[in-house]
Amino acid sequence: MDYTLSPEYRLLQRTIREFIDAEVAPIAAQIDAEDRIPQSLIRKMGDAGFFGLPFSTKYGGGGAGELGYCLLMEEVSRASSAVGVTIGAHIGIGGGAIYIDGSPAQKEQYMPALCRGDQLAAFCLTEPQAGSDAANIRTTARRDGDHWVINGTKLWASNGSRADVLSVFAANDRSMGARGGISAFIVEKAFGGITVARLEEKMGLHGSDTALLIFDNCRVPQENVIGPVGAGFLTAMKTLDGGRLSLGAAAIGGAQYGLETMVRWAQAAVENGRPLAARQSIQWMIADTAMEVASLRHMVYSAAWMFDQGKKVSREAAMIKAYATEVGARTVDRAIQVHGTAGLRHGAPVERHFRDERIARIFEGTNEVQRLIIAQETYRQMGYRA
Amino acid sequence: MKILILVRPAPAWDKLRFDLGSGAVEVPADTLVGLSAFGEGTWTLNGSDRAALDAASSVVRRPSLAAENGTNGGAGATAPSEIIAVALASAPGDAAEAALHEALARGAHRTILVTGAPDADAALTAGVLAALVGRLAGDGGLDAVLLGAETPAGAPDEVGPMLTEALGWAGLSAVTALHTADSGSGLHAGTAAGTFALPTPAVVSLLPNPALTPRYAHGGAVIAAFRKQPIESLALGDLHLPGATTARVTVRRATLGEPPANERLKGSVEESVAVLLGGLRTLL
Repeated sequence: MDYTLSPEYRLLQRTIREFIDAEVAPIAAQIDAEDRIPQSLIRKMGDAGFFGLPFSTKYGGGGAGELGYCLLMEEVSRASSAVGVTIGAHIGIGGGAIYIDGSPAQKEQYMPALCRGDQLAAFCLTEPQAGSDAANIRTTARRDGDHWVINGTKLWASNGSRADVLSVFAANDRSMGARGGISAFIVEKAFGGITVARLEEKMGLHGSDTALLIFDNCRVPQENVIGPVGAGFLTAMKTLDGGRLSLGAAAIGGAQYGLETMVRWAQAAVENGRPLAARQSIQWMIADTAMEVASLRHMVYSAAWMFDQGKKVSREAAMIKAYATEVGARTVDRAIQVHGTAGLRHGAPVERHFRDERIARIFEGTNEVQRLIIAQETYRQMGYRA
Repeated sequence: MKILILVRPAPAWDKLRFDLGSGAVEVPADTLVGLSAFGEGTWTLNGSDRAALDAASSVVRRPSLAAENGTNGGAGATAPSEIIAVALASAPGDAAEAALHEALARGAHRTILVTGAPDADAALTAGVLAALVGRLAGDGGLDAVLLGAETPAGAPDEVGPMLTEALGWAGLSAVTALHTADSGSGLHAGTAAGTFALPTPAVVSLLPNPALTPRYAHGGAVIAAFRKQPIESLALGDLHLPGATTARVTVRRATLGEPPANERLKGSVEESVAVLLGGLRTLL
C-alpha cells in the first residue's frame, strides 16, 4: 500500500493551490458580497485547465481522473465554496453525465468546449415534487419526429442561468417509473424554450448561480439523448456517485480551512494572559477536528482511486457525502466557537464558510437519503435483502 | 527561437519553519494536516529560474518576425521554436527531476537531466551548460540560454556571468522582461536600468517580475509532463568537460579577529587608499 500522492499529483496539487491562493482567495469575500463570480475568473480557470481536469485528453480534458478532480475541489473549496460548486456542477454532474454515458459523437461535439471552459454545464434533475427522490420527476419528454419535446420545471440547478449546456432528466414514459421511464438529454440553451424563471437567494454559496428553469416545448434533437431512451435514471445515479466524491473533497477543503483558522486564532488570541491554544477545551476541539479531517481525507482519496480503477463506489460515495458534509459543518461550527464573537461578524471568512457549509447536507441527495443507500448496500453486502 | 533553460529545485521556504533555538527545520501544522498522508510539497522550482522559463515561453509564443519569415533569430536557420530545460543532479530522481517535470508543465518542450554532478557549484554548472550548448549546436544551434539571476538560496547567481564568459556571447543579468526584437534579430531585455537590445546568441539571467501577469501551468500539462514526455539523461562524463571546469573551486575562509576601530580616514585620496590597503593586508 502506498498512501502518498504520486509526483504528478503532488505537482498538480501545488499548481492548483498556487492559482487558488493568488486568484481566488483574495476575492472570495467579494464574490460572497456581490453574489457573483467574475467572468474573468471563469476565463482564468478555463485557461488553467480546471474545467476539463478529470476528463480524457481525447476530448480535450486534462486526464487527471477523479483523483485530480478531488484535489482541485479540495483546494478550491478551501478558499471559496461558491467557486467550488460552480466547478463541481460543471465537471461532476453537468458535464459528467455527458462524459459518463454520452456517445463518442456526443463527447466529441460537446466535451472540448466544456473542457476549455468556453461553455459551462449544469445538471437539471431536481423538481418541486422530486428532490432527492429522483425517480419521481414530473418533467416530460415527448417524441415528435426526430426531436423530443421537453416540458416541466427544474429547481436548484447550479450554474442554471450561466450554463450553455444542460444535462436534463425527463420522463419519457411515467408508467415505467425510474427503470425505463426516465431519459437523459443534452440540451443547449440555444435550442430555445428555456426560461430562467428565478435565481435563488440562498443563505450561503453566494456567487454560485442557482436557478429555477422552466422548459416550455423545448425541442431537442433525437441524437442528443444520452444513452438508450429510458436509461436516464441510471445515468443520473452513476453521475451523482462521482459528484458525491468531489463533494466530499470540497468538504475537506472547507474543513481544512476551519482547522487552519481555528489553530491560527487559538495561537494568536490571548485571554487572561494565556493564549487560547494553551487551554484544554480548545485543544480538544482542535484534536477532534484534526482526527475527522484526517479520516475524511483517507475516505475521499481512497474512493477517488477506486473510481479511477473503474470500481463501483455507490456505497463509498454515499458514506463520503454524508460524513464529509457533516465534518465540514462541525469544523466551521467549532472554528466559530474558538473565535468567539469575532467569528459571528458578518463578513468574517469563518462566518462565510459557516453559511456555505450548510447546504452541503441537503443538495445532491440529502444525508438522510445517503444513509438509506449506505444501509441498503450494507444489507446487500452481508447477504440480506435490501 | 531555440532556448536552453537552467532549472534548479529550491526548498519551498514558505512551507518550512526554522527553530533557531534547536536548529531544527519543521513542517508547519497546516502542511502536516493538509499533506501528511499525500505528499510533502517541500520542494519547488527556483523562483528566478521560473521567471526565466516564463520569459522563454513568452518569447517562443510570440515568435519574431524573422522566425515567421523562416529565419531563426537571425541565424538563418528554419528550426522550430524549442525550449530545452536542463537540471543537474547527482542521480536521476528526486528534486531535480521534479524541477524538470515542472518545467515541462510550464512550457518546456524537452528536458535533460545531467547526472553525476554532486553538489555542482557555479563554475561546474556553467561548464556543463557551455558543453551542452556545444553539444546542441549540431541540432541547429541555440539562440539563448536563460536562467535565474538568483540561486535557490536567494543569493545573486554567478552561473550567468561565468557562462557568458565561457561562451563569448552577449550577456545581461537582472532582466525582468524579455521580448523578441521587432526587427526579428535579437532580443529586447528590460531591467531596472532600462531596456537593452541584445544580439543573439545571448545569455540572459532573469529576476521574478511581480508586475507581469502570473502564469500558471495548465492542469492537463502537469499530467502530460509525467505521462507523455520522457526526461533525457546525460552523464557528466559524456560531456567531456575540460579538467579546469570539473575541478572543485576551493573557497578559503578567513576569520576576522578583533574588528578594527572605526576610523575616518584623513588626508588626500592617495594617503587614504594607502592606509586602507595597509589595513586590508593585516586582515589577510
